[in-house]
Amino acid sequence: MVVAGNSVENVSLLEARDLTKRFRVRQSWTRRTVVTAVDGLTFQVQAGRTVALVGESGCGKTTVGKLLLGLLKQDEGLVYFRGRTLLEWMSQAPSEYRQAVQMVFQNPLASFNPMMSIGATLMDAMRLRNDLDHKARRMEVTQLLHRVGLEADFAQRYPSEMSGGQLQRVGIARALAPNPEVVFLDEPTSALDMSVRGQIINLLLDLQAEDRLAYILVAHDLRVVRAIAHYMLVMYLGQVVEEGPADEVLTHPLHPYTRGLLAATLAGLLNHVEERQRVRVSGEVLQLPPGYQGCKLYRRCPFAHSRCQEEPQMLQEVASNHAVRCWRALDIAEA
Amino acid sequence: MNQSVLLEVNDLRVEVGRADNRVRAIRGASLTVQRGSRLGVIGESGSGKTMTALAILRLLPATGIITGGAISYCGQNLLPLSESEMQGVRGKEISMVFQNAVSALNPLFSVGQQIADVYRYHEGGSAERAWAKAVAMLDAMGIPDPERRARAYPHQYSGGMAQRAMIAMALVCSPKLLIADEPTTGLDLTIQAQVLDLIKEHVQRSDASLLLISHDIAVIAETCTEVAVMYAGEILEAGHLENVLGKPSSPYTKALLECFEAESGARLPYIAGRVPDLRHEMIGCPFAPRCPVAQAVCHQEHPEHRELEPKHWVACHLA
Amino acid sequence: MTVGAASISFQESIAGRIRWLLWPPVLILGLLVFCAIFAPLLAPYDPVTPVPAEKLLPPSPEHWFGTDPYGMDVFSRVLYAARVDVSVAIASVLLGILVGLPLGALAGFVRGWFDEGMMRLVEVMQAFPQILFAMAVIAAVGNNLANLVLILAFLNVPVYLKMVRSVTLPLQDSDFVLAARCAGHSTLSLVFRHIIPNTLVPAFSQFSLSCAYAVQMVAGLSFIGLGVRVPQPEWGSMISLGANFIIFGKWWPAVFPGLAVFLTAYSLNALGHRLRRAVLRET
Repeated sequence: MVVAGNSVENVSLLEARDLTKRFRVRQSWTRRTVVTAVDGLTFQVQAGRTVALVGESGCGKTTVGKLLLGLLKQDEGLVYFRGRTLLEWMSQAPSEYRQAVQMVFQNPLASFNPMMSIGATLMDAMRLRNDLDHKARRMEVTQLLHRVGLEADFAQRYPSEMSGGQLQRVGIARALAPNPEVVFLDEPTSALDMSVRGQIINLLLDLQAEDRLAYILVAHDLRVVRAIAHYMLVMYLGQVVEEGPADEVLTHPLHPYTRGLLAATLAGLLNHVEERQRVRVSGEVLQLPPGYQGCKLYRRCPFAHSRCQEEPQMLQEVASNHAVRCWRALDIAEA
Repeated sequence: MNQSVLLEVNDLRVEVGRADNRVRAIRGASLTVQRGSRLGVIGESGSGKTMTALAILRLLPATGIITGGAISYCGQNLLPLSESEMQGVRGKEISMVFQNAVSALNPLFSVGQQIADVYRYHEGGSAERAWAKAVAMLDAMGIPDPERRARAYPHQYSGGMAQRAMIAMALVCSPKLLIADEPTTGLDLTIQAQVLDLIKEHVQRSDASLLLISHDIAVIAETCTEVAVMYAGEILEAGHLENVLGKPSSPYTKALLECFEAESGARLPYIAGRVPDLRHEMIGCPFAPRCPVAQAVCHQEHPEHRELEPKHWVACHLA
Repeated sequence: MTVGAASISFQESIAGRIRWLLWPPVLILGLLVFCAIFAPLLAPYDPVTPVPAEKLLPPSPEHWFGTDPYGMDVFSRVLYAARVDVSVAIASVLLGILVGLPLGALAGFVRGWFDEGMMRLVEVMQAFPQILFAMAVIAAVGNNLANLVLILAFLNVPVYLKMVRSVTLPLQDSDFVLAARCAGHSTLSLVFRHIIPNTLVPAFSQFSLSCAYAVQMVAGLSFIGLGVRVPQPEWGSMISLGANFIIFGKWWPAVFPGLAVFLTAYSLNALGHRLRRAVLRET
């Protein structure tokens, strides 16, 4: 088992070990299969650092968020926060955990109650903060709005009266309201225009520096990952297929899936057409039968070999802190 | 490549919305699609790009009207055509592909049936022939097991596959112009590449033209030969892809490109401010309030089109 | 995705309000409520004391709507009857909403056995033909105003329960519910703080229509003698009383209360439909 981590001196704030979650999904009238949404996920994040979970639909990122926030119960594995398990937190000090681990949602308009003003929503977000009385909370609303670069009078507005970028900033303010230590960012910019994303990312960077927040970022836009992640894990169908420091993985991707993702992202402007032809991941995301042990990318991988299908692939550390779940990774890289 | 013009939009003006809330969604947009070329319209939310596509096919929402300008296809003005004449155009001459394929297809009919219906409407003939054509199109789009897939329903398709089916439906009558409105948004990155390749290949093969609308420059750079940059209901810059993306002249184009090509470093670039309120008339250049190099004249006078080089014009006082 | 703040000029909003107020259904309902409240001041005669000497007088300057078979002034009785019909209708619908709305929100959000139980209950409640049900219950417990209100409320509960439940179902998976959970809401506080406010507007768009139906029910039950008791003025019972005399050419004791029922029900329906259209357009 590869221990994924950043520098050794920082104690991990939030940690997941072998996190596994399965769902029973009805495929048709009579058939029901088990889908493993998250399969043995292991990672940790320290204060002031960002870990990115990268993948496309079906990779399990949203499920991970719900697991980490205690909204879903895992089937296997453990989540540790400040050394104690999530189970302990939920039974002994649930509101403390709730305040400490927060989330920013993907679609700003859908993540706000249309009937509540921004101020009311922010007040509601502070309901667990016993250190502030009602009056102090009202002042805190103004403070929060200022921190994310909005005027105080936004508190009177309703979600439908604001632009996507402004609403997402309120979403960040809402996540900050309970004074968290860890923030789960679920594709925070993918619903926003390109010209606005930079503003949100810069804001997140500033806040991280000011409050030493730990971020867990879910994204498929590798530009965003490059901008703020220190460490990244690439996920495919619930499994981590590659992980390492973000710069390292982005400049020297090893797993065919990672290379396919990178190529699909940067194509066009940076003229990587030839590279792209070589690392084309074909077909669609296929759910594989439950008993299948081999590599999950087998049917779509341009470098597939019969061995890929037969043997279960394990996460191997191939360079300092850089691990890959593919026995051919180094061979392909040299080719 | 034939140099004649396939579609020409001239100073198009469109308004949408109810009486007390009318939005001037398009305010004098002009673009040209040549035969055999692929034009990409890049714009963000509120730019009016989708409205432009809908206006061309006269598919504006009930509260939308074209208040000015001209749209001509193969030299013929489309605006005076009656609704039944437009129906002859849609699907046969000009086709459209929408963003969310699964919901753009009718959930009650099988995919094959929908494609066959389009074919039969324009080309006539028997149901068997139409069905065979539908299956053939699905096969041409790279959908495995097309016979069985044709009998399946839209909700049984994945996002990427549904998009292929919709492209099949758009191309079944071999239109001369395919309009694709954000065809890859919402799809997985790896699927996006496949869908774009598919569109490009089929458009090239049938010597048709493409009008691709997207907010993602990479999508357009990947697929198109020309590009038009749209902002607040107007086209601010247009021309050959290499010219516009390589030597952008409009401050908006430059700012937008910066946002896309962000290098890993401390701060990411962005464009401050908001899109102007389209309910009001605007004086001067629409981008002036947010433009980093705006001068007094930019706020007062609307910029005219200025030709920088052949196949490259810009609407900017400072060009 | 960019939306601007709604901003019309002050004059425009005043003009809009005046246009709204001058609309016939709103005018009629306004008049109705006015009459109901001020009946004692507006009615020229005592509505419940019979005056045998003046029975069945046709409409005249002294008796605008004529007199009924007991000699009571029809106009005064129509005015006083407004009080009964309007108050019973509003009270019963409000009570129905008070019970049905929270139950529907809980059922739609929590699902599971509670939801199943509620749906079965609603199905049973709605299986009975409404008039027959009302008749049976009244026969059992007697007809007074309180019972009427309770019965009509009972008939309204399943309507609002189902409607609120269907509005709540799609909200279950929405992001703002997830966000509220992250903020520390329990399921119950989530329902009351976040879900129910989102159901109020659709529920109250139905309010006017339910009142229209309630007025017709009260009139109908009174018509067959099971509603409001006889001397008390009520449109339905007035129609019933006057119906026998139409063939004798004495049309006024039945027609005027009938017109009142018709106009009230029509106005409530028209207003209700307008509200529903406005609500559905916005959401």
